[in-house]
Amino acid sequence: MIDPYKVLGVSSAASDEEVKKAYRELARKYHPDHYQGDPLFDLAEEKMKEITAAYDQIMDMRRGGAAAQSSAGGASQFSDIRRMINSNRIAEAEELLDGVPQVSRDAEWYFLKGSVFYTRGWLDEAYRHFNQAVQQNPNNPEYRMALQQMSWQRAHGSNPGAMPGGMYCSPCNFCTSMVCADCCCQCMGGRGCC
Amino acid sequence: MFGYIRPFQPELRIKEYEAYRSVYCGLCKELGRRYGVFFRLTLSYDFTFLAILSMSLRQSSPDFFAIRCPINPFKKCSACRLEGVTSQVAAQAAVTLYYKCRDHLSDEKLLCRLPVYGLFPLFGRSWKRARASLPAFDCLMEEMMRQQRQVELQFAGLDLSAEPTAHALSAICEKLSDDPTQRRVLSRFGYLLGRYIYLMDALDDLEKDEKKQRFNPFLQQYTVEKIKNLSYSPAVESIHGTIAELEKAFALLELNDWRPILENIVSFGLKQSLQKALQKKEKNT
Repeated sequence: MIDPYKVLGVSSAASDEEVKKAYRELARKYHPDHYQGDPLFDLAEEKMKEITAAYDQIMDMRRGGAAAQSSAGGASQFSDIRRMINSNRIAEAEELLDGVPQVSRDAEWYFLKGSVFYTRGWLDEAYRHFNQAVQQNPNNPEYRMALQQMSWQRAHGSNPGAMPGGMYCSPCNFCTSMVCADCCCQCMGGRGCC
Repeated sequence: MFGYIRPFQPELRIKEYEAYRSVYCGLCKELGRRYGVFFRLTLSYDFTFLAILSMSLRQSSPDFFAIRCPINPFKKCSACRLEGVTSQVAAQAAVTLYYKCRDHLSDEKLLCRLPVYGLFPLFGRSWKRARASLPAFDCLMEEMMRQQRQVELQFAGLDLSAEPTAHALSAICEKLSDDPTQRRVLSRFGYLLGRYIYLMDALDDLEKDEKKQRFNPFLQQYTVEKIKNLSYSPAVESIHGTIAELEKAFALLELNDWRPILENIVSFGLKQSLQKALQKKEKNT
């Protein structure tokens, strides 16, 4: 097994931001578009896969760690459900969520239910639930980010940070899209969306 | 499908515009050759998009050739076809038309139904042939219609009522690739595309549906008067949200040379169609 930190060329103590930056730079460098017609095209492609896999692995490890921490603190009664959503077991997660009695449905419940809807493509219900989550707990940055992202999308028909519809597939554009998709996956707590 | 998925011409390069036209003309020609001249008139931009998406996921490139367009027979125009794509999309267009006509029959009053009744004996054989050539697609459309009727009887909310169309498009797009990762992306992309089409159609038909007291997902919560006072923002927001998610799924597709045209459609064309729909409403008031 290759060390994912080595692939990205960062130390294991690097912050999420640093890992992301390293990934972004490498992805730009090895983007297959740069190698069109090049005899080394396949190698670049392989490299790109390797980089993405390493980045995913690091993020998964870190996210898993964060989830474990929060459940250890007893922060949420829904940590199992959150893990299910993270591993794309949407139907199971929804079943468990629906079984939660009305009185115990807190902000986290609304956020997770919203994430389930989001994964399924039910964007309006997702928006409604994220809204409810933020109303019940306005201080949670995760809920706020999810809501902000959707509000932006609904207002502009595009994604925050993405360049307004670039015509050509420039590497920058590709990266912003990737980063965007990733931000979203993180804050939605699942990778089903991409 | 209803012609909402079209490119935004001012942002297309000339060679892209010409390539787009060639696909359109190739499909039109194929429809005429296989199913009859009438079908040539029914071709929508949506199927051109589907054909280009399908071509963009293949290794082989299409054959370009010159044809004479019956509308302007003195001028030759370029057309293209790709084995396995053009004929399939043409058949899909013919089958979709069949179901659209059937939908019309179940929705409208007798007087409006009469002209469509006339179509069945004329094109019954073509439809039969098209449906027989794509049994899986035919089943999919039939199932979509059935689910749509069911959802409307339940007076479902926005998300649920968009689901039959979304699921159908998801299944159609998913089949365009053999790669499991790409299939996942295509499945989400198709879902959102179907959702977009459904919501756009619902927005377009708002006034008509209220007058005829037909189901419309936006009228479950609002009246036309109220939604107009909000400058259609409930609908616009839902459609905007769908486009933004579509762009994200699109960025993860691995596409060949056709990408810029598709990118134009996804980044500009879809929003442009929404603007057009809103402008049309403004004009009518």
